[in-house]
Amino acid sequence: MKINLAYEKEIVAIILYTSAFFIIISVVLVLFFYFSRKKIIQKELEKKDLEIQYQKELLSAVIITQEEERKRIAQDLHDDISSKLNIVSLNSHLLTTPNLSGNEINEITANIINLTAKALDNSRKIAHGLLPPVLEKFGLHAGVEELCLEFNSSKAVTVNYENRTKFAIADNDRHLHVFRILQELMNNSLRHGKATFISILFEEKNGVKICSYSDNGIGFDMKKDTNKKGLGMKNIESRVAFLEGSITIDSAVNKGVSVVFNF
Amino acid sequence: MIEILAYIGYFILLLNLIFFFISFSNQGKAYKIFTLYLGLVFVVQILAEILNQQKRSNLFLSHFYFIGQFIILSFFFLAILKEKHQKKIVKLGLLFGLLALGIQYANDISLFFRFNLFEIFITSFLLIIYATFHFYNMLNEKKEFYYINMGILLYLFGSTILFLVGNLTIGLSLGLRKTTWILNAFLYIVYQMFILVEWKKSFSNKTRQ
Repeated sequence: MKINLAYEKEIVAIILYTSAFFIIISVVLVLFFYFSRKKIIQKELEKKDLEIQYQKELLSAVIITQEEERKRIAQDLHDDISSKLNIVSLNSHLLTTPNLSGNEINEITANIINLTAKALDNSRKIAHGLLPPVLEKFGLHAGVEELCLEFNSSKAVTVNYENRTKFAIADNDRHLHVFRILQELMNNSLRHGKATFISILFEEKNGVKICSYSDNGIGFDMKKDTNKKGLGMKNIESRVAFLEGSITIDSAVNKGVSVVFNF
Repeated sequence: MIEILAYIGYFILLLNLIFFFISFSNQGKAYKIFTLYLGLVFVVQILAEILNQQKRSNLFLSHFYFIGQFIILSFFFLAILKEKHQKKIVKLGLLFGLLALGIQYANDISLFFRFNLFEIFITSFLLIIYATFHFYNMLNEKKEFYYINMGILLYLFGSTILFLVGNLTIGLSLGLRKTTWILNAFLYIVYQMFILVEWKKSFSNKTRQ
């Protein structure tokens, strides 16, 4: 009888411990599930916040660039055209003064003609800088070719351009972004990178057009935050995002820059 | 049957011990603690086997196994858990667990020659909680000791029940008694395989460099 009682006690203990074990494990499981969910949701919220933050930054970059562009246009207009037109207007007023000798009239008209020609030329240049007519009329290939020619003619840099694909004129709206990206990249290479050699290559793989850009400039440190968040770079990123493409930028100090993006 | 399974388990354990020992240098604290754990388990298994061969009871070794496992794995989790309050819980768990066991053994020394249910219960569920902490931490971070953690969780889940009913099986006939231990030996092989996989995935490359 005594042995039996001990045995029963033993069984009860085992049952109690086993049930307690299972209960604790299930509680642990439930808590694990609860906290995991919380953690995951929190992470997702953080991610969304980051995304919003990023979009805000892009937006402000766009606004700032817009303002800068306006400033630049205003300056160009003021310096190159308004000043000349001013002198033209002055000269025209001079023509109305009485008792002018034929020689003087000739001189003034020559002046006016000369200045209006210059103003015209400048206005063409400004318009050209804003939107190259070649790009609109003959497509991206011709536009980039002209861009390269301009850079080449500056003698500071040699540009090697190769195109292995065809661009449809109908896609010109999209190609304008590509053109702007290249313009920005080349300006950066020249101004910040002090590059002497630039190479641009268009390819097409599986129906996706790829642009590979590289220079031999001083490059920059990818890890430094100050380099990542430049206005120009942000602009490029938003343009690539607009093209629904992806971009990879690779650079190291004194190793030049290499950029690949598709569109 | 049971001998073969048990020997396979020992063999993989020995393999793990050797592998972990080979890449011992230049590893973190947690790795070293885990190697120590493998060493302890191996020694206990060998002693148990020797006593078994001499037809002597080796049941008292189970206490060294459970308490040793509890202490070393607690320190192991202390090393890999990162959040402050988790570490605090591990420390408190270790302290109170050992305290409770100490009081229990002081009251009744005869427990030493049987399966101590309370000991199995408390050491296992605390370790399971720590392993769950680690899984929680790994949800969105780098996987560290991922397979070892999985193995610990799996083995503790399965074996704890088997050990809890261990005292009952003593009364059963030899043939029936073995079935539970076959299951345990099988679980043990799975556990050791997980450790082996962990070593292969996380540490085997570092030795070659």
